[in-house]
Amino acid sequence: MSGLKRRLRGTLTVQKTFSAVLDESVVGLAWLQGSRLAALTAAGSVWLTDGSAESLRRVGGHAEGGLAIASQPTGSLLATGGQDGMIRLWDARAGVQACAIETGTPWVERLAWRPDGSGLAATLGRRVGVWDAAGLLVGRSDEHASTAADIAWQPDGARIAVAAYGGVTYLAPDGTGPIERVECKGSSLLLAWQPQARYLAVGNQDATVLFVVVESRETLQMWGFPAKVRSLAWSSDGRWLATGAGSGTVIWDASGAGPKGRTPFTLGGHDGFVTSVAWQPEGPVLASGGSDGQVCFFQPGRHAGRGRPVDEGHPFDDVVDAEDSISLAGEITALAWTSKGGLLAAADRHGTIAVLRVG
Amino acid sequence: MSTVDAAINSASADRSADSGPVPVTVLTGFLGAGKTTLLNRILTEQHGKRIAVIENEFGEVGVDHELVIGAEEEIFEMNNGCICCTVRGDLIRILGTLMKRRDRFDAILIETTGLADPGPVAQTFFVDDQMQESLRLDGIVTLVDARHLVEQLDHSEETAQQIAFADVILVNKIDLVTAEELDAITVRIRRMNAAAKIYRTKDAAIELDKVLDVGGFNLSRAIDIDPAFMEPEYPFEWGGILELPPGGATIEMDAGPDPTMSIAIVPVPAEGPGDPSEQLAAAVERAVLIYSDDEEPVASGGRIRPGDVHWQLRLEPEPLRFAIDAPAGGRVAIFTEHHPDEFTMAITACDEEILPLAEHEYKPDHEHDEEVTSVGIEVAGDVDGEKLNAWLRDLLATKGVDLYRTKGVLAIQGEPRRYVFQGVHMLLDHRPDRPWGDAPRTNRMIFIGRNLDRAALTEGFRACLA
Repeated sequence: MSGLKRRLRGTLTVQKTFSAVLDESVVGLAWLQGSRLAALTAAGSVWLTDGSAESLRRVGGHAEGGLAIASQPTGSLLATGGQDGMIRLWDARAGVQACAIETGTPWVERLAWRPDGSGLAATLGRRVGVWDAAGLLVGRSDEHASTAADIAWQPDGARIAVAAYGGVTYLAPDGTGPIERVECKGSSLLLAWQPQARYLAVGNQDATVLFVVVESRETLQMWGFPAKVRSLAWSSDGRWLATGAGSGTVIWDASGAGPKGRTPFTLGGHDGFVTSVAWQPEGPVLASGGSDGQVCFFQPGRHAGRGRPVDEGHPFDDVVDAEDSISLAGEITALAWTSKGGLLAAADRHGTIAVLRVG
Repeated sequence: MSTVDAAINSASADRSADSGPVPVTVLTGFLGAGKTTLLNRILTEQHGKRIAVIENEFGEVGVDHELVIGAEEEIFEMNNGCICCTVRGDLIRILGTLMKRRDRFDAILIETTGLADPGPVAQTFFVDDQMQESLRLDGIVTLVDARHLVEQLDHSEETAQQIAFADVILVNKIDLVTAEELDAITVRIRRMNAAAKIYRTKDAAIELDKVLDVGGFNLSRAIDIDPAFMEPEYPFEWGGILELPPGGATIEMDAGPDPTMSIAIVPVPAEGPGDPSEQLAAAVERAVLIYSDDEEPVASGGRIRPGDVHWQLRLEPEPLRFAIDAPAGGRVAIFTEHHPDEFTMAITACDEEILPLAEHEYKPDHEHDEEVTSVGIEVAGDVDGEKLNAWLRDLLATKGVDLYRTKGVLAIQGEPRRYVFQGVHMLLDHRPDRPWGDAPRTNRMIFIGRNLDRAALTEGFRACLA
């Protein structure tokens, strides 16, 4: 398939420009400045490439396994977390480890950079810690009642949202707190801030999605998913929230008065579970990856124009057909767009990574 | 509230999965029962299996083993309207991560804390769809300390729960008790959990295949409920088929170990089976129901008659004689609370003893008072699917908290295949299995739980018959 250019229905073309097979199942992908791609495998290896086969190399890793990867916005650092209890910062340009932070926790499962790149938050079991870009500890949260399942910085960097059993808490930018709580029965697993920060979307274990209206602190809990929500992604314009649950991707419309009372619609394309969804930054394209090894692409069509009610027609009727999708060897484990949205990296459980040019 | 479009269906299994789901074994048992010894054995013995272990805390197992992970129990209540549904959030997380490297191991063992309720662990596998895709709960193995079991049962609810949930029970440290004590323990465990396999061990020495891959939650193996284990407990010790002559008969007996004795006399229907043993078996359930009614006391010298009355013979004044009113005579099944021999009891007519055409001794249930018990139900014939659904739904909603494990095989009217089910508390997993073919259509179920009402369960199920 490499190099094969396919014209998808509508105006989209997808071209595979690079692919390689790494040592084990890929846990996460992150793009760095200069279109360099980093991948972390379940074995704990950290791989870097600039998109050419010659440049691909393993720069180091975590003993016992890799868990989290995040690239510094506006910088050249890559952060990884693993089952060795370490956070490792890598100088992506030089391809060397810049710093190793011993957290004192068995597993470092989630990492999130402050949007300005000045700080890195990490889950430490029931606590959350924040480090600066030099690897110095800034602060640590109080102990939560259960393990912190996810963390996400408010887009302006003013707060950190933490998902755990019982709902969401907010921490101060130095990691201290909680300073505020949003209660939700059950266990919260995933967080996604709308880029405009009017909403915080929360995916829960009990197959619901919670919209937290940030200003009013009102919460809207959406039921009816066939299975727990495994991935969340907002469109760059903040209108659509994509939620991967079961075999479908459910799209919520948060425009105008918000998702309350609106029936969401479902995008298919996968023969199996949707494992990841990723929306193109600065563009309209949504990519979904499934347990069937497919990556599908969708974009809103003519019905999605501003001010048009969704129920007049399927706003995503320019959806590409399933046979137009790109296929990897196994279950898709990660999707990552470059910041401008020109390239999508995809990875699977057999260690395959692929770079797709989408335009 | 909005709901997701109904068009999303449950997705099919991972098409790209390399092999079947990974079996998971849950190891429970009180502190000191020998869990760590068993774990160390499993991790160090050469058995050719690569086993990942999730310990209840770090460092307990003294083995340098890359696949040992420590977990701190995090119990999550599910917000899905199921009041007793709790799961282990930590396991969902840890197993999710472990499964990213699933090619490194063949099986997973989860050790729980000594005081753990196995319910949330088992429910986790019923509730989380991602775990259902890649993992399969194989069985719950409970270790008990032979020397301290009796004391632990008296003082902690958890011990009884752990026994009730188990598919396999290892009675460990048998070298520290006498043979009689061991037998008493085994009987007591069997009364609580009639479906588990029981092994007696010293130093937790057991072949691995006895504890791993036992198929305890395998729906198809629900069929394999051993009928010997199904032998239920009855409120009577003896039953016999007798042919009463016209004019009835007399019960003559001596004083015995109890001042009273219950008795039921069930008329044998003419249209039923002709073989006395079958007639006796057919009358048992009606007798159980009669025994669940209030007693009707009768003093010596009084009269009793066949029918749905739970007679209580008052064993005074002597001589002890009771008349059976049966003017037309006929065949009856008589069920006595105690064995007739204990009271040198005889049924006579015209001074001649009427000998039973068939008799059977039943396992009594009145000698102990265990809160956790097993109720086995076996009824031939077809059940009405709708009635059964309604009954089960109601049963799980009202008794789900007390029901630890249920499993069964059913013959549903109009369904050529066996219907199998397995449950933990309120959560049931069920599906059609292989066809009945020429095999007689029959229903076989076992309920293991606390404060179970055998008569009500039996009656409730019988009401579902088509």
